[in-house]
Amino acid sequence: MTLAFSPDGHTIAMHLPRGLAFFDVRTGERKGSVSAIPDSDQILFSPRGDVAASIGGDRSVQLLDVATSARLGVPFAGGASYFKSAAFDASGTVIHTVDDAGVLRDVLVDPGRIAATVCARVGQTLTPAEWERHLPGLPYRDPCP
Amino acid sequence: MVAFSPDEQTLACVTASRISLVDVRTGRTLASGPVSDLESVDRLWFSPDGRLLAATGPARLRLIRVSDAQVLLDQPVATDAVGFDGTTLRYLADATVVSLDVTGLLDPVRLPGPVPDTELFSPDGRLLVTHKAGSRAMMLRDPRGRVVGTPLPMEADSMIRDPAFSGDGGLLAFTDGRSRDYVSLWDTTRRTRVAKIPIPDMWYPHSLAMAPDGATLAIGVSAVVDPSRARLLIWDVRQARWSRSIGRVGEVEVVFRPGSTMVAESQADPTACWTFRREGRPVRPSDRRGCGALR
Repeated sequence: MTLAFSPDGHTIAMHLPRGLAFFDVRTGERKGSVSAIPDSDQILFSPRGDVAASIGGDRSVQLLDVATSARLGVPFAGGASYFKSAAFDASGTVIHTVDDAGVLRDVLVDPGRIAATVCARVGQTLTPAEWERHLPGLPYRDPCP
Repeated sequence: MVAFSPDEQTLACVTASRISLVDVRTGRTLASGPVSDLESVDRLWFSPDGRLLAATGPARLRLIRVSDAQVLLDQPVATDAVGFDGTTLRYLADATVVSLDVTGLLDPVRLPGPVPDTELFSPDGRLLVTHKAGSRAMMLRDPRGRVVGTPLPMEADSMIRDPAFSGDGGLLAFTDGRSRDYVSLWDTTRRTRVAKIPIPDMWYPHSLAMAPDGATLAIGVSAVVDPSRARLLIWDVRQARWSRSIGRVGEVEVVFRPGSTMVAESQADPTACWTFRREGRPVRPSDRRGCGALR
């Protein structure tokens, strides 16, 4: 079994026999789960804790939205070898991987894909007034078109 | 829409749903692949090194690898604010300037020499440690595999097992020696071994974990004569001494919770977990709620 804590220590991600689940550490409550995630050697959280990655298993990397437990896109296929280690970079936009054949690959954590998921979760966009309050001086654009 | 590569040897052509890369001299198609919604592309250009192709418009950026016409990136952007120098892609997305090193997307990097037995990234992704069993040099590398600084000297019989970094990659611990009779602790910045922690006689380590702040090392050990008799040893890194020896937990893997506690999960019983304070005191006596109750 593989498990990992989020950077703030409030969430734990854990591989279960039929998938991967997120739990609230303080209450023990299951926050969400994703089925059919192959068991892996490593679960990573992004530095902000909003994205998790299941590494290994079927020689792929699956990105997950922690808040909704939704898959973010299709798995990234690493090739014929198994991943041996992986880590998010400091910005959270790239996962560095190395496999058991000594090959390094970077997996891009596509911000657009994440933004689409967040927009779908929130179900609304920023109004011009909210935009001006949070992003003063920048011309308004709909972040969730 | 068409575009020539910087050396004018390759022509990129897009139709509504496909991109093709053609050798200008022979007319042969070098690579071709499906790309959706290309009818709306209003700009198509190669990176300066000719290895990537960017297609923009409207409000969308696609990054395509020239060698196989594979789409590497597809996302909404302000198409009038895209910059690309061949290695770093910068674009405006939702009022945020995103800067991406795309070199890893182009070509996987194969580490030079024999395939290492040990490969581990630091949690911050800054360092990769590699080592070939028996080699007298342990390498610290950047995420592209380039060696950073001088190799760390190892003993002739070195065989790294269960390596673990502190959160910032500043400390690296691993079980060392063919007989697994000690744990080495290295300062990766000063490139010195700061501790050689002897494992008590008749025991051998089977797991190792370091707290994110590098102050605590948890070492799971098994008895040589009876592997079922396992203990969890807690090493205080700053005081350079054992702080706790925990029995009756069996063989465990330890994961530290940032800032406070650690969870030891049983390798034999998937429903058994124990939660300890970082110095090894149980959170509550016989607390097994860690993993079991979470199901």
